[in-house]
Amino acid sequence: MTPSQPRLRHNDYAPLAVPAIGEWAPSLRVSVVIPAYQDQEKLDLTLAGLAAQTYPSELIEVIVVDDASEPTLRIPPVGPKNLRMVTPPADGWGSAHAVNAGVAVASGDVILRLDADLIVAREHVEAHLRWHHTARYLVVLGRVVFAPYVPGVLRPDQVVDQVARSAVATVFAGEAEQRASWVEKVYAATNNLREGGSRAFRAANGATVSFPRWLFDAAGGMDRAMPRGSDTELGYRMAQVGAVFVPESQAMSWHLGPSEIQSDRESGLRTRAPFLRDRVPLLRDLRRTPGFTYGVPVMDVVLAAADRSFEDIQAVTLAVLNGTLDDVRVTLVAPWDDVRTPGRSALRPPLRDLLLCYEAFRSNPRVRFVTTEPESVFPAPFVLRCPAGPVPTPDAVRRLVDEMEKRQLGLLLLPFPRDRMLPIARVERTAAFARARTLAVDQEDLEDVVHDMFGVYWINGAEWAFTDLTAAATPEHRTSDAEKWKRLADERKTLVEKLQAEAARWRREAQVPIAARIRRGLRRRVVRALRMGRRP
Amino acid sequence: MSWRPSRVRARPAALLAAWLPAQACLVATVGVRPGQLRVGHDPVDLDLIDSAAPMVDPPRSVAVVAQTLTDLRRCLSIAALLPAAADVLVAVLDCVSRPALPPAGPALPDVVDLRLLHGPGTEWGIRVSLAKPAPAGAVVDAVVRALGRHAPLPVHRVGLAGPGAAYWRPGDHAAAVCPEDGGPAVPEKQPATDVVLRMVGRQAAPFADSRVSVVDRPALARLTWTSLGRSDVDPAVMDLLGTGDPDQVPPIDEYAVNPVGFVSAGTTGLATMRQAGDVWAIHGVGGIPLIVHPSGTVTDADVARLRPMRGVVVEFGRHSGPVAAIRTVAGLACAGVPLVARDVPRWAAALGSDLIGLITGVTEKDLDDDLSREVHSIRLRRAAMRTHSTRARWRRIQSRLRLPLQRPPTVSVLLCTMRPEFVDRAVTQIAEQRGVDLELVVIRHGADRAWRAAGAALTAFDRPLTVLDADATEPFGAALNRGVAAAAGDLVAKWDDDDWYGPEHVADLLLAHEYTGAELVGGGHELTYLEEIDLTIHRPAERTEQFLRHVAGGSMLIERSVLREVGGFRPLPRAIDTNLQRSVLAAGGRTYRTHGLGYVMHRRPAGHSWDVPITHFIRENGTQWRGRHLGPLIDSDRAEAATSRRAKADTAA
Repeated sequence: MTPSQPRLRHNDYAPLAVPAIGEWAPSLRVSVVIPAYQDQEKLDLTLAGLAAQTYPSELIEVIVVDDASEPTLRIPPVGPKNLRMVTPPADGWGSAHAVNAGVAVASGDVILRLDADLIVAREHVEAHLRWHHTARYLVVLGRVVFAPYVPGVLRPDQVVDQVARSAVATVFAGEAEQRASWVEKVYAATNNLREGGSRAFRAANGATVSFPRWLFDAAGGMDRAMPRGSDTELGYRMAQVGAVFVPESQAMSWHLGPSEIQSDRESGLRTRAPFLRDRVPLLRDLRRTPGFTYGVPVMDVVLAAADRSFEDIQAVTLAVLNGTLDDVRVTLVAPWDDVRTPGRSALRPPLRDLLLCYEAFRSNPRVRFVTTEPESVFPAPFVLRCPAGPVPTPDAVRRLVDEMEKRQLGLLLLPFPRDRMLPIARVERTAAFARARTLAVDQEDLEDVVHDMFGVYWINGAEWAFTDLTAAATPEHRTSDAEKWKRLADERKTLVEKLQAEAARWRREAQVPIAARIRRGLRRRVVRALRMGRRP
Repeated sequence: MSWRPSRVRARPAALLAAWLPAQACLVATVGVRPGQLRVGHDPVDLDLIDSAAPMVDPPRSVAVVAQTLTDLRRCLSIAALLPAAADVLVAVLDCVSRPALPPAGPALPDVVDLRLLHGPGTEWGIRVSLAKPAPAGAVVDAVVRALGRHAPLPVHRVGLAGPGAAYWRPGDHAAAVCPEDGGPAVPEKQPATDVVLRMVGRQAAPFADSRVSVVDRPALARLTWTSLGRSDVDPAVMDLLGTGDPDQVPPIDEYAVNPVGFVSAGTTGLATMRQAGDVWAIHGVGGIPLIVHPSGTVTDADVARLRPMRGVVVEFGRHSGPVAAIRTVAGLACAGVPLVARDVPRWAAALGSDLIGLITGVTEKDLDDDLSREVHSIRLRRAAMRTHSTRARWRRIQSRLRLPLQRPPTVSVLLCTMRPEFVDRAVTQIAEQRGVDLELVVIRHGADRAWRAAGAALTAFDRPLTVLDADATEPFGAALNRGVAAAAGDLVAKWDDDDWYGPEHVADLLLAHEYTGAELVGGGHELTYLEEIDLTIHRPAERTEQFLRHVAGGSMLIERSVLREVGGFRPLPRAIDTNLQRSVLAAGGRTYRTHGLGYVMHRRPAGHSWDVPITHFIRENGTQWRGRHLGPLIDSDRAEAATSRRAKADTAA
């Protein structure tokens, strides 16, 4: 990565100056990867659109991946110059598997993943690529409009002509879907993702999306175990590698027929939710229900376990696991290899405590054992690095996740002074440190780079998230703590009601004219005097 | 000690009917809008009466009804016009801060009865019965004194002639009223006044006594747009508008309209000031709009209503007159009300280019951030006070008339340190102080060989300097007292060797001392540099610009006479700051806390006289900077200081 890479804050790509269409000289090579299953006719139209692009054809390579169609797909006579058809390895199926296979043989700097049922505008590829020339960590999202489709009406050679003349819109004039789609609502609410922050990846689709090759590789490619939602999930992992998401409305395309989710809205969401819930922690709404255990936790608490007493580590680990947020994992760092196959030495200090610790948690799915402190907890979005001393309070992890998201911080530092020592716990945002590592030059301090792009903030660890080992949470604390808060909430509620009543009284009084108030007071006094008089 | 402004509007007529003495009574008003006060008596507006005709027919009793304390202070200067009476009522209709009681004045004899009155809202009054008739002005004088002690204004004795002259000299106990021609000169007697300020028409009468300097200003009636719009345009007034000379605008009474009570956090909503009829109205302050008096006078009550607001957007229109419009904006700026304007018309040039630059240099959005809002307010009040305070106005009039100038107050900076390695840094920052006449007193606490190395900055220090030695065994307080004994300034500023100060630090304290008259002023402790974790933190102050018991110890400015009176610092090794503040209060003095953005406390891992964990300083929602940062105010002050140094160097070259 060159030092001149721009440093974008959060997901705000506004500082990038993209050239106008047709007024710049491209240099990056792009591989258009199209996973296709059945429907030769739509594929032919898609390829016809790619034959009429403004982007230089010598920089475009098109790879169609035939996802086990029957009969097998063929290369049509009308299509882009540099076109290949590949077959994915037989050990899998689905579009994610097909995209992985296509990218594996791609030679471009940038991958443009395109659906096989789109007609793209003539500047589609150019619009995508102009962004990648300004920064090398962008995911560009093209625009899809759903158009009515009747098989056999459109001919590929006509489509080439219509695309070249920018006349596609008139073909579908008035009939294309005008209703704002879900993604357009997201754009509207986030100033076109500029204010989308850590959740901008939600807008990632599979129909027309482009990214640099390295980003795809660094994120680990597509998850082929996901028949649904794999594009959103890839977007999530790319975000954790530091990607910025850019919607490009000039990368226009017309989808032939209604979308899958649109045509079967309920089952579309239903089939996606379990996949996304397990793997995408930042879709917090999917993780409201307790009782699940997740493949990717929202927070990984990393503890150095070596040279600490068993009781100490156990207390901290339990404090985290018994917290009010289930969505958490504990990573214990120590030379575990020495105790996994215990020799006699494991029964003596210093290994004895480690052995006890390993035994205590080895069957717990929310605890993992590693031998070196992980630089990143990718794909988990946050890590809490907790030094010896502070013990998280029951609601610490929940509050810290909320705080990180509320402020969209890159790093939160929590000093916890005790006995003339100053241990400092850290909550790091995986995406922020990944982007900083990509962009830091020379010996630059990573935290400074994170601060520039995401913000570093200090808060009081004692007040916020930690307690002493002596006062650490035992399982009883979990309930007694809850009771304490419930009591406090009740107290506050009573107070609020009291104050509201008082405020209402003031408001009433302020509206009554003075004369009336005097009259009323007078009447009250007269009535009281009369009553007194009547008393025997 | 302030009254919560009530939303219940009083009915002054009904209220005063109850308060006014029953006997034949003269009612004099000041700042009260015509028609607002309908009582059985015919009120006289003190802003409109002609000074040449003191009221005759001594009445049995006199009532002075001021709209606000600002108005009451103004009428003090012409209170000599009030007749003598044995029964005097002084009432303030919109009294937002209570005068200290009992009021006392040198000229208030034989009080037989004194009654305090207050209405259902913010009305306040005092009714004084005297054994024998005395000038009613003496009671006004006593009430104004009870509002607080202030240093006298420049020019010893000013004569005021013509209606509205009091706008030029508010709250002057020593002012005199005289006729336009000054009356016949008596050569064998010294003249009664040094300067006479006259409100004149197009033809001013010649002044009789040539030994007296005369300052003529156009009468207020000549300054309305209506009179300016006439075909026979008044040349003097056109000159005034053309030159944009601030000295043509009646000044702001900084003792009544000032930053006291500024609210630094939790403010909401922008108010808009625009023309309504022939006056300015401020909309969006809740309930009825705030109407500015046609004279353009901003009062303490107006300011109190604006305090909860984020700021005021000024839409310049055709106000009752250009001078009144300028005066309103200057008044709000003096009070530190954050002002924003898209542009300022040419006729308002008399605001001064600094003030215009500040008002047009920010947008509404800049005020959203509490910190930048406060910085804007601080810079506004500095610029406005420098140009438009009564003190500044008369200093300039004095120098234009080539009268002997009173020396501005001097400050002795006390730097007592045990650490030679910090001296250079501290002295450099003291040398950077702008806008103040200061001397430096360094006390080398624990003098030994290491001191010889320190001193490059001391040698370069180009203002008066005293270096003293104190034995290491002496407690810190005792060592400081050596410096107090050597100090020659009117005021003493305490400087901490390892903290950071902006170039306007002492000037800001001096300004706060001027507008409050408090014997001890200091800043709040808001900015802290935590060396241990290399972080600077701004903790928003809960209270600022108030008379408070505590100020940051490293930022105290105290009158030297008071410091001596309380016996200097207590000879203790630590906690001397709090002890001094306590002594000042015990001696009947007042302590005032101004803004805290010009001072950064540097906290080292060890070696502090008070030991609290760093987490004490880390609070939620404060602004943080990585590394050592001096905050937005010192940053901009330093940049400005550098620019003016460069400009000075350029003109020299």
